[in-house]
Amino acid sequence: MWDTIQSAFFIFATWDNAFVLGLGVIIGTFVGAVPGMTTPMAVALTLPFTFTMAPVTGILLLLGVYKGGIYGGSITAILINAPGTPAASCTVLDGYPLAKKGEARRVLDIALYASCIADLISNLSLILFAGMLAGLALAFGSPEVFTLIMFSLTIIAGVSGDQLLKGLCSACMGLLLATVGLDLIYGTNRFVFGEVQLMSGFTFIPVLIGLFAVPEIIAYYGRAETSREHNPLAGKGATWTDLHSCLKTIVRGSFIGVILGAIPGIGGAPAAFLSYAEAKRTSPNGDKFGTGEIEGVAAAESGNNGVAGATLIPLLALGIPGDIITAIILGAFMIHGLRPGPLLFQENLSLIYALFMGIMLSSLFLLIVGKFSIRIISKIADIPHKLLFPVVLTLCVFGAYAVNNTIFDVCVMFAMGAVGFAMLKLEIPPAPFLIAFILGPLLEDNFRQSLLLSKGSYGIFFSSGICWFFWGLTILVICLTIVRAVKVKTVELG
Amino acid sequence: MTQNKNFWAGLALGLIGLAIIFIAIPFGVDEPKKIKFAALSPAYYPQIVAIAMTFLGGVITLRAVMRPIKSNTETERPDAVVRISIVFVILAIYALSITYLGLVLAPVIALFAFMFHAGERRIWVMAFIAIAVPFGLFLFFQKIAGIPIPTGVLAPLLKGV
Repeated sequence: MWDTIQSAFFIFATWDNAFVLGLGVIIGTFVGAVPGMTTPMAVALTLPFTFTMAPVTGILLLLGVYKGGIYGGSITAILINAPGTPAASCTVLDGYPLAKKGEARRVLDIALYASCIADLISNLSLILFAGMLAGLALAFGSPEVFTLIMFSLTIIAGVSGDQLLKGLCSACMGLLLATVGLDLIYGTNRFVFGEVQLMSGFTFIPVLIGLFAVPEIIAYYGRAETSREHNPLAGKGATWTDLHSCLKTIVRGSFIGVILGAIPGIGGAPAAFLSYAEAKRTSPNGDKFGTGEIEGVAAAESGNNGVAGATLIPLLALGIPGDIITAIILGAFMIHGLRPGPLLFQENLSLIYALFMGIMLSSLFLLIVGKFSIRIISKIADIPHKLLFPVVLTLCVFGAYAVNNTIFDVCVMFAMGAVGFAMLKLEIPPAPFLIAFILGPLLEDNFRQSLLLSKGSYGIFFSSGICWFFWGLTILVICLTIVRAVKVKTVELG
Repeated sequence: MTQNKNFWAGLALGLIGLAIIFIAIPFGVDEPKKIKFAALSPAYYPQIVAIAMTFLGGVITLRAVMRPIKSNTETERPDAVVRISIVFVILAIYALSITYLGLVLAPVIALFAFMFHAGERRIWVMAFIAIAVPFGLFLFFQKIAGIPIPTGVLAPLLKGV
């Protein structure tokens, strides 16, 4: 054992490894911060550069880009209301309102700390519990994932505020929009109306940008100019008290991310929303979530970063890539003649340990790169809106185009901008739309796959302990929401 | 006025739900001839969601009619409707012109128009930003990220870049 660790250290401890890891984090952070440049895109673009590198060096470069990209996605979500990645979409809910109040630096700091702590916990979980979590992940079939997503959707009640009915309607619209494209089981068209581009459905990024960033820009032109209220926290970074008050939320969000990350196919967005939902339910400031609450940002960021290390669990332990990024990393392993899975732990244990050492170091690099970049990036929030908003719109246009290299996505973004503006005017909350649009495909796919497996019997949704557990949680949350609403009503009347 | 907004929101959502049930699903969902059971039909899930949306839209409308709510204070400019209409016109022209003008020239013009509409009057500042930002993004995506950007009418000029 000691010999293996020693040889792993010699494989890892080179300047090349440290350099590419740092470079990867910088590239990932930068790319993640550009709307439209997704983390999988950045990892895929980096892959060819790893061909001539040593296996550990090449894989560490990809892991650096991956981790930087997940954090980078939150930067634009906070500063300009345009999430760089779908996983960062939950960060928008509280991050942007805080940035608007002039607290951009404070909220970016908390997002960074939450990301780094979650990343560290996720990495430690990968190292210590890979075997156990891989076993748990294998117990998740379609019915279990369906009940998990049903439970995640209960957050809609939380983010709808006092507009619950409109929030539910908004979620219905999100679920319906997510059904556009080819049917999963029969391969027939749904709501395509002869438009070839719609066959693969709507892409996340143009819809997210259109729904959040564009309406804000349009609304700016009709808003009366008001002088910004004096905010003692404006321009200041996060304090130890801020971090301390969010620590419990961050740790809880990290573990939610770890568990969901270990399940192939779930991804960072559901983890972020579930972590956010739990934080909202348990926080004494739960009512302020969605209007600019620092704990909300910490919850979202810890949830989506907690996934980062854990997605490597099914990859390394079982050889199963959980998402697009780990599929690309699997490709990198195979290019170097390595096949992830149980055999890798027997034949190349020192290489695995060397990767673990690099992964641990990546959390530190993320902190350094993030801390350095925040000082510069947070200044964006101070640019006059009459210059900033038009520039943001240009960035959004390029971002929407870059996802699939098609003008069609730009038009989708504009159309969603008009929808988002109408929702803003009619006071229909956009957050439930967003949550449902992201979770919708997972919900429907697993619903129908389960029914296919059970030959149409709904009993499959109650067939395991995990299903019962999530049904129980869902019912509990719905009951608590009703009780809380009745209490509020009683107070209002009495 | 929140009550008015709730009424119109409920009505709009309800009508969208009805349109999906009676128009979009029958004409937009291709159902296979043989389906093992109803729940596997491609129309089953959208139908459930659309019915729920119609019902909720109806409830919102009814509540808005039956229960008056205090009005909200607005912080809009007096000429907000005109200004926002201009934004929509610029956006429409922007979207329609991208295919012809390309993703460099169209943003240059749109950026200039949006800054001017926002109240910026320093011509050199507007000209610099309107040119530097789209060209900078073009160079980043085209050269670094390797994403081909459509250059439209500027194609002959930007061919060598």
